[in-house]
Amino acid sequence: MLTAWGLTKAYEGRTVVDQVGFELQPGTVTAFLGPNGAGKSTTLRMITGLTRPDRGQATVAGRPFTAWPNPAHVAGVLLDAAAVHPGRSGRGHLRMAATLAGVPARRADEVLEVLGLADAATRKIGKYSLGMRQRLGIAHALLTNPPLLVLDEPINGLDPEGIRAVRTLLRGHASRGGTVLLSSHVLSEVDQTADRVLVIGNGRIVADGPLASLTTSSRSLVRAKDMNRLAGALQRGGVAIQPAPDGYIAAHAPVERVSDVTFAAGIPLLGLREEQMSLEDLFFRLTSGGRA
Amino acid sequence: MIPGHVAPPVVAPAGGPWAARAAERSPFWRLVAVELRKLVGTRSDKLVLVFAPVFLIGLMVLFTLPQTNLASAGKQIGPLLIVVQLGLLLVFATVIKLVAGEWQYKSVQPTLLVQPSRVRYFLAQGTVLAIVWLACSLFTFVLYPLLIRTAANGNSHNYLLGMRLGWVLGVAMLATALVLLTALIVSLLVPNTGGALTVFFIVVPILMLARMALPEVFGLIYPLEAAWHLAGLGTGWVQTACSLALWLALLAFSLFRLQRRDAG
Repeated sequence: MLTAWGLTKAYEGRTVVDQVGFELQPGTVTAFLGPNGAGKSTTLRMITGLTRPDRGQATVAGRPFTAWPNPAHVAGVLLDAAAVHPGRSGRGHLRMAATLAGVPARRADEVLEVLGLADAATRKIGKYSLGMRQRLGIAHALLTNPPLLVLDEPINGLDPEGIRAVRTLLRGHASRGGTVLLSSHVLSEVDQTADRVLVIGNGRIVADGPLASLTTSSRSLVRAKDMNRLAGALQRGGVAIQPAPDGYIAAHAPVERVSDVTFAAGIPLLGLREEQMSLEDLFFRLTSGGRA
Repeated sequence: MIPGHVAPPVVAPAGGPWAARAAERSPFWRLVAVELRKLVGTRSDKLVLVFAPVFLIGLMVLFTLPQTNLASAGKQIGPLLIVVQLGLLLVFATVIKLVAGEWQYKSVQPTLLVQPSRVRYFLAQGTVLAIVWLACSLFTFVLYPLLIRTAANGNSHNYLLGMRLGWVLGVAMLATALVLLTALIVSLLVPNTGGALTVFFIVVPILMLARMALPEVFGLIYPLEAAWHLAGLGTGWVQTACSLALWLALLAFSLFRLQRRDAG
């Protein structure tokens, strides 16, 4: 649905996006993660034609976004929730977009209702909170019911209820065959929304894959009634160990190996599982200078 | 079909309904309709436009009825040029708010994401400006001769514009077009409403005063020199040609900048 290859952009000699490429399939939610200044927004702007890439190209459903005569029907885009005229009303803003895209004006009221902004429809956007502006931006993206959604930090500023609603909305979109690309630095939210994570650091993609595979570590967490005996058995079995939170021992070996060692030593276990690296750990490991 | 399953399918295979809609360009009139709606999109825009005719009529009365020397056609059309520059300032303010405000608030971004062609976007704004230009020119053309005729009669002078109405219309249209063009250029070069309004409100009146004081010098850069020339009050062809070349070059430069400006 969305393909990007070799996207590169430099400002005043400094490369902010370097050879970024990926392909998104229908029915998936992909998170685009990276710290501030990593190149997320620039990449999204290049995809949507607001910024010209120095090299590379992106296509949406086979054509560059701007080559579609009416691209709003291919991709709904939210890049900056603050990019709205504060003197206009939410409904007025969406109705103008509806006219431009060629969808009935009543669609503006429908999406305002879906995003919980019906009561504020006639209020000036300048009086909206950050969260309301975010929801207005998402409503703008949903206006034409497009197959692809490209959303830059869509949950920034939302309250917990709003975050849950947006997460449900995006998962629902993907479950109906739609494609979602969302950038975020709210890692815990991506954790519960995305099927796949693209991590960008220093302008380059440093990790790309399903969330579970990226956060899987090579360590196991193990707990027994007699922890001293467990530690001794593991060390004698040649498994390096470290203390871990919640009374566990972190064993530098796969769960199968730990299971074999403890079984052979006759130690009954209270718990044994693969250690999952938190997304925060992964994120900072990948983007703090080193590359995967 | 699952009973009770009401969620519509979002995506259709390539070539499905969304692809057909995406392949059909929005008609140009829709862009113009949206830009017209933006022109009156805020409460302050509406207020300014409501008061604009009152302000124009007031300025017209101020610059016509007290005139005492209306013995020639040039003397009778001269006030028209001042009225166009000062009397239409409120209208020009709304135009500047439309063009510069879109970039200042980045509200151009959602527009370009729905309709990415900057050329079509600019042409739509240009069409709105053309509508404003026609309305202002015709309003001025209808009202101004009536007032200057009253003033001429009050001074026992012959009303000399009645037999040259085509010329009067031409001067009104050219002068209005040139001031509008100046407002457009300033808005494009200074994409900030406050800054553009300040530049426009300072530059145009100051250049007018400077041009009145030293026409040979300031006529070279005065944006309305061609209208003054057409009114028979010009300094010469050199000033007219130079002024036109300068402002057309500035227009070309502002359009070049528009094509490359980052939309947020």
